[in-house]
Amino acid sequence: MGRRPASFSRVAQPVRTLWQRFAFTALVLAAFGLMLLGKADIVMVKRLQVAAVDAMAPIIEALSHPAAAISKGVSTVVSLRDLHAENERLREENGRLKQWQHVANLLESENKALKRLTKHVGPPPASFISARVIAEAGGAFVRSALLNVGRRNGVRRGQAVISEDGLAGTIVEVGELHARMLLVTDLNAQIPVLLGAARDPGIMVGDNTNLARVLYLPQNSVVSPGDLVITSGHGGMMPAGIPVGTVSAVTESGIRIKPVVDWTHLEFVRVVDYRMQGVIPGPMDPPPFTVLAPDPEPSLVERLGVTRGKTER
Amino acid sequence: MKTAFVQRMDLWARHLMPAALTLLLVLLSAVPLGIPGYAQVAPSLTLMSVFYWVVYRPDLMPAALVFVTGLAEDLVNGYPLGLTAMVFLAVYGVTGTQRQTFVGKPFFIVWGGFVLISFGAFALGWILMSVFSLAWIFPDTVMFRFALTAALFPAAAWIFVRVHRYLVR
Repeated sequence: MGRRPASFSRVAQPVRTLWQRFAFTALVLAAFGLMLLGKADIVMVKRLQVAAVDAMAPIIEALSHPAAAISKGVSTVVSLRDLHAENERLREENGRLKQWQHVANLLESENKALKRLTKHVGPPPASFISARVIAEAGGAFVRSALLNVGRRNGVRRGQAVISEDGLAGTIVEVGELHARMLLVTDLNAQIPVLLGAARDPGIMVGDNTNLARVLYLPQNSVVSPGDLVITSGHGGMMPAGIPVGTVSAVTESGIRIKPVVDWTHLEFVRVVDYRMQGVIPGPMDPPPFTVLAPDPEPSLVERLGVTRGKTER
Repeated sequence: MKTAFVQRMDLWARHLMPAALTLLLVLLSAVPLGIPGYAQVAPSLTLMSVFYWVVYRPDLMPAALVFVTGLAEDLVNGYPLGLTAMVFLAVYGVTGTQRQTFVGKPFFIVWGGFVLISFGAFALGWILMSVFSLAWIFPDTVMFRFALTAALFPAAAWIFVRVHRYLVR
């Protein structure tokens, strides 16, 4: 700026200082305003936000490939080191799992026979969309991840995301090219679950730590550490019976649940395209059905009727 | 004439480097590395970058760029829009007034200043997020993050110094 004529800079300098001072205040106000608008869930802001992340998604995806390759290389070297011990462990585990498989086969056939006998209506069919995790949210405030699939792949808000271990999260934001999944440990994650052999219904709630809590359990339910936690499918957002975690501690202050998902190796996940529309409305989604839907809209029973026909065929 | 133009373009490109570097760091810090628990305690590389450039080249790190950096971080991480922008602007404001304390001083003084300012930044972010989500967010991960960011600042600064020298050359 020093190259400019002195007379010009003499005029411009006060304006520039004023602008700089004004710019700072204006930007602080803008940031504050954006937070308020975000809190109010304005559709326009949400739409801009999704479009901006959509624009960044290809770059983030390109960056995530070499990072994944490096981390895979490191883990390969580490696994080479204790290959022998690992082999022994797997052999032992395999023997145990074979017995379990036998039990599972028996139970499955028995279950099928009983279902036939009682004319049990199964859940609607689900299909899967495979996706790559391209970014993990850094920091302590949110637990979310970006996936490289979006609306054009059939991803919708509210769908469940599962890894090879079990439920990892749910889709909360869908762009054309990307989707954001909220991990089950996030502060805002609330998953309807069933606990233990008694299948007591509850809501699993995250709190940004590695363990989740369970709320709204029936009063007289007995829960002990090690009990399996599965999705209940209540609310129609996700299929029932997906493993979510195991009870890790039962204390006075509450029940803590350790998610089954191995967060370290969360590279590929599957989005469950469940054929039942969820009850969580998104700001940009078409209005979903509600239990109190007006008559001209297809009711819950009618929708179930359609899927029932499908499953029987 | 042509060389003058090329030189000007070169200077332009060099002057854009802090901005490009900071925005690249936004994207880089979101890349999943496969280290257990890393995403939660990942050091804030962007905070280091913003602090460094505001101290040494405030002309190349204007408030608008700080704002955009914060906004990009919010978008990538799915934070409430404006949260990190607010935190970074606060860092910009405070660092801007304390610039003279840091410029030309030994590195450990700059580091000490960064520790103080980044502590304020993480505390502000934590308070804002707690108020925004109307919930108690456990501060332990935030503190871990602060500790890691403060500890790794010299390493990041080493890279920024290299870029800075390249700018001046």
